[in-house]
Amino acid sequence: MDTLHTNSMSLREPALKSAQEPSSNKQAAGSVTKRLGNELMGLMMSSSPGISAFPKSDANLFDWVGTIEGVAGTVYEDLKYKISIHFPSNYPFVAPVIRFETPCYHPNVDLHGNICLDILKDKWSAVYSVTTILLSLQSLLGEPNNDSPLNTEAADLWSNQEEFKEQVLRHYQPIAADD
Amino acid sequence: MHYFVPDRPSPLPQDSQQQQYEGQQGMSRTLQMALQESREIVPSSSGSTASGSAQGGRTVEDVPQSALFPDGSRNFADEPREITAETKLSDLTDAQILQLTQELREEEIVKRPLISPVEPLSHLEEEYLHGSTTVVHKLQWLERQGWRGIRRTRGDGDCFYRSLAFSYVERLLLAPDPALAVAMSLSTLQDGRHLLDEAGFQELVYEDFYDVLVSLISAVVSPPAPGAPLLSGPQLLTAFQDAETSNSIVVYLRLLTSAYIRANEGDFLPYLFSPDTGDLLDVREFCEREVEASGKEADHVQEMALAKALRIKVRIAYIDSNPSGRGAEEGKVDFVTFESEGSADNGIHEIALLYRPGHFDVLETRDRE
Repeated sequence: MDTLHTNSMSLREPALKSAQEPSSNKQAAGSVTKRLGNELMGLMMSSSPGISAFPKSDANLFDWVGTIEGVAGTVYEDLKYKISIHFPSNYPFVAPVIRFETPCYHPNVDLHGNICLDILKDKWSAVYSVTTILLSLQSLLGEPNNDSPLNTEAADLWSNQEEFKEQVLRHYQPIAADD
Repeated sequence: MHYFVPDRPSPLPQDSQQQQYEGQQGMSRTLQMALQESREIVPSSSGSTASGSAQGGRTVEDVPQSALFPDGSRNFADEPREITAETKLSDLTDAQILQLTQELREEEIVKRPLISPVEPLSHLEEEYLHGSTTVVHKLQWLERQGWRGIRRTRGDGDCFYRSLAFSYVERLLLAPDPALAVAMSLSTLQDGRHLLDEAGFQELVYEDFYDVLVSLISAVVSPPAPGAPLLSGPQLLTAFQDAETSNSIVVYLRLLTSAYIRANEGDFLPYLFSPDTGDLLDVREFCEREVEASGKEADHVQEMALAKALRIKVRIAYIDSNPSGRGAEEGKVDFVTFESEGSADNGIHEIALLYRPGHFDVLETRDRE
């Protein structure tokens, strides 16, 4: 694979690149921190029902935990899901990594909690924030994209809402009080 | 790691690769981009001693077109578990293709600066000497017209926005009357904010990106801090090689492009196609998927919208391995020009970009930094 890039271009300017990256990383970290701080403030100020998120610890602004409540009228009504959010150092130019920590039976969530959501993948834009992601996830719960399922069994069962709900409840584990 | 993409200079002449590529109509745009970019990285065998394909990997070119899309449908029954050099493109799922594309990009990201100093256009020519003679003729034609240099950008899908942004600020630096040019630019950008507001972008979300661009432009004529020097050419390059600064500006230009398209929906509506499916998209879907999303390549719609939003004239030289038009001078290159109201008297010279399928670089009249 390396040979793919063996052209004169990369050979001509190696020094430039190595001189560049470290400083930009450092600067990036400062501005990510600022952005995440703003997002946290925004989340706390706004009152979006059924979603919340905050850093796991004061020491590390890059790992958050969040909760999403199922919307009334959907099979996820009254269920509360815990998710983990990891921000890469080049956030917001790259999407955060988000996972369901509470087992979630859903067409677009796999057994490990990985999520298939377009705005977290090829549709990611730096204008999205934790708030928009959580709201998107909340609406994804009730409106799965059955065309690109991670859990094909769940996608097939979706048309039968009663049985689907049974599966949802069978997999669900309430968030522990000390969590 | 094993890949299905060409990992060595193909023995095929560039021209025939090109034709085959253009024939693969059903292939997803993302993959096309990956293939184009990989090809662009190794345009020909010149200077490259690539010999990594000891196992003589099967290249995309080797896959007969008929095997790719036999009847418009694909058989996913026996997907390969592991992708090797032997894997046929037609056996891959969309998800695998997307993943490979991303890996290709990530590898490139490690190896190429976001934007490079100017180098002679002849360097690019040398890379095609053993490939497409048509491309060589076109590059030579450009040189005869006075385009002697190229400033390369990283092929990460942001190359149009990054090339254009760099060139834009550089034109302000080189303007006959920088103070006037900067004032007009800042006023245009200020107007652009209204477009963003109307499009529904929150100030809180875009102002950080906007500020990065505006402070860079302001530094052309007023010191960023008391006693600090004005922006110089080398500083401009350093700023654009810094991921944070460079990407912030790219994001802002994406938002501005999106906002302009949304505000002038009527002008663009018939052209808002999904490059993947060819379907017509509504404005919102197009803007979210094809303009605002990171790493999404620009096409005519985005190019025109951004030229208009910035009130600049942009000329794009299209270089591919198709022969020049009948009766035309050998190697004659077509320029596509995007002009807008006010671009004649904005105090800066036009911006010129060089386009090779899947990638933009800056075209320069000088051959060194």
